[in-house]
Amino acid sequence: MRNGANKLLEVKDIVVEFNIDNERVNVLDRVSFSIKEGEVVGLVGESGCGKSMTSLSIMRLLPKNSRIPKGEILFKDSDLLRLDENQMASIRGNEIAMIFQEPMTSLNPVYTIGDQIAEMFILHYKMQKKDALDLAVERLKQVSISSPEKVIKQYPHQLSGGMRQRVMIAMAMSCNPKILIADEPTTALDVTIQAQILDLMRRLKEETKASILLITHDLGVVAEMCDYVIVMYAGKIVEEGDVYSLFENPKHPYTIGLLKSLPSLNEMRHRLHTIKGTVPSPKDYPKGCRFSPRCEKATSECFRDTPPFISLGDTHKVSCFNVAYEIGNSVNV
Amino acid sequence: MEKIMEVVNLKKYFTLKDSLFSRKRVLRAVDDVSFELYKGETLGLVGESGSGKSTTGRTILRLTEPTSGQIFYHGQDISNINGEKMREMRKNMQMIFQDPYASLNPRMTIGESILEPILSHGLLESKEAVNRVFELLELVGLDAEYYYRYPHQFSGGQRQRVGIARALALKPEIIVADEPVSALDVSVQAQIINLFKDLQEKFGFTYVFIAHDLSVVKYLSDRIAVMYLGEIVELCSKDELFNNPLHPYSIALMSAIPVPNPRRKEKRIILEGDIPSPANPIKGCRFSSRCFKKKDICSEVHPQLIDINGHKVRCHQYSQ
Repeated sequence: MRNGANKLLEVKDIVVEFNIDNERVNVLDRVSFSIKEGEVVGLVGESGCGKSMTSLSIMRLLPKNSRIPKGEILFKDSDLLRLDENQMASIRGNEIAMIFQEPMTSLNPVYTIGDQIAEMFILHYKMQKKDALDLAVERLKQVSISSPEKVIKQYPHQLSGGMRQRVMIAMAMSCNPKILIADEPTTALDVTIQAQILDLMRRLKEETKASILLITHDLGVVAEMCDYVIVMYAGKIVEEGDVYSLFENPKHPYTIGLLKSLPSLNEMRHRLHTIKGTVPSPKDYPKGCRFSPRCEKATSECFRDTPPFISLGDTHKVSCFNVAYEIGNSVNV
Repeated sequence: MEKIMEVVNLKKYFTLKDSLFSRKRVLRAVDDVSFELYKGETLGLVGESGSGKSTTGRTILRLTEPTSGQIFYHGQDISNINGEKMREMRKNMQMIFQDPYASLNPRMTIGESILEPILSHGLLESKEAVNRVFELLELVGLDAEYYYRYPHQFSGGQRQRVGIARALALKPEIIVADEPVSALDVSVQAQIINLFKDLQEKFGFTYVFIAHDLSVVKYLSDRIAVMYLGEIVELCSKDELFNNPLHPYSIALMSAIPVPNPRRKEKRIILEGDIPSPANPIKGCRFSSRCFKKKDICSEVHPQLIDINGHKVRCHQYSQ
């Protein structure tokens, strides 16, 4: 999947800073990755690792007190960061669409579901209201909502969490986007409903050939859905690779620790593996490797310098001094 | 093993009123739930939203008053006792919540928060009590200096440690933990799960562990009760449940969990439809609207919980 397919979106060395109490706080540090055609890319990490900030940068929806001093986000030969607001508006929702964890906050409580979906068609396709509503029914059918004619007349609060997420997906997919960014789309849902939504996303991906950027903290969801996985920690990418390399041969101590700390359904261990300490807040990011204070293998170098990003084969990269020495790479920072 | 608690036909109904003139509706949050609790074990309660697992947990501690049914603690019915007797009883049973932040007073230091129950129950003199708080902090892996800090200065994992220390303060026999790790990040979650295990080994606590995450429940529990719309649909030992699940809901629930293994091949069972509201009772089996093994009888007759060699299940497939 990874090799061969064309790059659809490329994030290049982006840096994101927040202005907090007149102090510049770095939340994303030189993040680079690409999404290829028809690919599901997973962005994983714990709270505060910068995964949502990455997706908001792509959509240009970062909060007002933030800025992107460096980097570019290339989509269809143009840098999204340099487009004016009108140009961006024609891409947002149309070519790159996004769904969020809690659909209730992104649906307008005073408009019916039908009105909200139809609005997209009226806006992007200049359709008449009646035709737009017919198309809305069509799109709700596509996401397996059983009585769409009834649902378009309902308000968001009348629907269950799973139904609301289906509606959000229908809205996001309504203009046939090239890329769907899904930020924790199933985190607020029950397990059996989550299974339905993941199944739906997989089916739509097959039908529309859209690429998906899936942001989640759940490694189970990643293993199930993704072709390619990016692991983030404290605003940096620490490891990335195709899903098999990453789960079967993880290299970064953080990735290894995360996988080991999951309680497993199949095997029983007496104690769970833990990673000592907690994720630092952006104000307290340490010098050198940001994981070093929690890493069991950290050397003095790790505390001092930023580790290089090294390739282990075509589709596996890791940022760690120890791995670099292990494979005998010369280290140039 | 010594039976320390027995819950018999416990019911908790809530009355809903949509508007002034509409008919009253009854939400059956917990409907005829019975189980036993043995000393030193962990009973896992799993289910999705609306299954009644949290209400069950709260009701057995009388934090919510039961509509009917009995709760026996060491043979004594505690479902009707009040006042000083109940206060005395509460010492033996403590609860840990999902978000300890909501249960900590923001204006009290952590130390004062843990100290309060010890003093108000008159367990120790104030000087000894303070020493006990330091002991508790150490026990849950918090530095002694945290005594003087306020809740907002703590991370989620640390706050959950405070919640645990507070629950331990009265040396309870039973601890009901309601989704204690579901708000935490994976690496921190593992720390707290280990802490639960260590404390049980050290002090022999009996846990009722409520969670929606089956892998967490499996890790900690000896026996597991699976709940659906206010009822227990399956109750057996952990190994029985995972090796030989009987109820179609348990089977679907286990199959729905995403596994961190990209080569997983088993076909997932995907249940259709939403979880019905516990306020709209379903005729027959409550799971029948979503069941993939549904027969005619299922939408007509409500199945009983039957016992097959100690493995309890509520499903018509098994009643001959």
